[in-house]
Amino acid sequence: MNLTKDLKYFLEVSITTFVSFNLLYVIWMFFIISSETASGFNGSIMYVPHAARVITICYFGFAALPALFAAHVFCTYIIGGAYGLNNLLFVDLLGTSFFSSICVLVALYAMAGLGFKIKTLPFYEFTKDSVYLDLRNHKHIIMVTVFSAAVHALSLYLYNYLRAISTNPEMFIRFFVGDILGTLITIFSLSFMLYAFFRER
Amino acid sequence: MPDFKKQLVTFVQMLRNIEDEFKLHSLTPNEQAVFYTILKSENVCNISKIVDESGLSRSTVYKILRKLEDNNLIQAFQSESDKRESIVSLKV
Repeated sequence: MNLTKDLKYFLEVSITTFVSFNLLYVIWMFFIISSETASGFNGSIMYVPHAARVITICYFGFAALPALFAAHVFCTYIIGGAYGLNNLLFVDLLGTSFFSSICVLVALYAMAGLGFKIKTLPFYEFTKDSVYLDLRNHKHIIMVTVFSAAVHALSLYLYNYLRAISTNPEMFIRFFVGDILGTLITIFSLSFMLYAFFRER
Repeated sequence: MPDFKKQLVTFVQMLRNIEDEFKLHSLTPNEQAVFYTILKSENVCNISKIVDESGLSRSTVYKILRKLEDNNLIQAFQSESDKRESIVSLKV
């Protein structure tokens, strides 16, 4: 019985994660990237799929990780590849997808080290003095976004540097700013859409 | 065992928190009910209809209409067919 419940939960989380990442990736590809490629692509300045990483990992924890990784590989290899956005070898695609998928987790554990803990992740020692991240508070989500964008930009820049894919430092800045802007735009757009939805009822 | 629906509700609460922070709600739920009853009835509506459709008491509806009128959202005038009846319409 418990196994069925676990499996149901895992499927719900996986489908939500996979679909939301794909949706944001397609929106990003068709509406945002077209205005950026002309000046040479060194990382998007508004990468909206980062919102899917932040939201799914924050709210669903580890359960979202496999679907997030699969969505990364699928979107970059299949959708991005079809439109000429993927210049990576398959092994590098797996590597960058791995680092992109775990960046929010790493950021959350780094924040836990600084004293900001989140209840959706295990391995923490919760004490009376623990300061919890409140998932209802958008400011806490924005803080996670900034930390995870820094982790993501740094890890991908190092990976690209070590694998001699790119050594352009502009990429680090663009990844960092792009992830933050993309996530903020997505969250605020969702908020406005939700407002419109409830207003009509 | 985490609950998927609860996690989604938490996410929606976060989005609603943004609405509160940026004061997107300029009207209370009751005011919204009255306002959208007028909006749905093709811009012109009598007060009895608002009372029936919104489920609010007549005195509450009158208070809300006065507030909406003060905020320049609606205008009230007398019905030509029945002088006892007030008609309200959106001020667009």
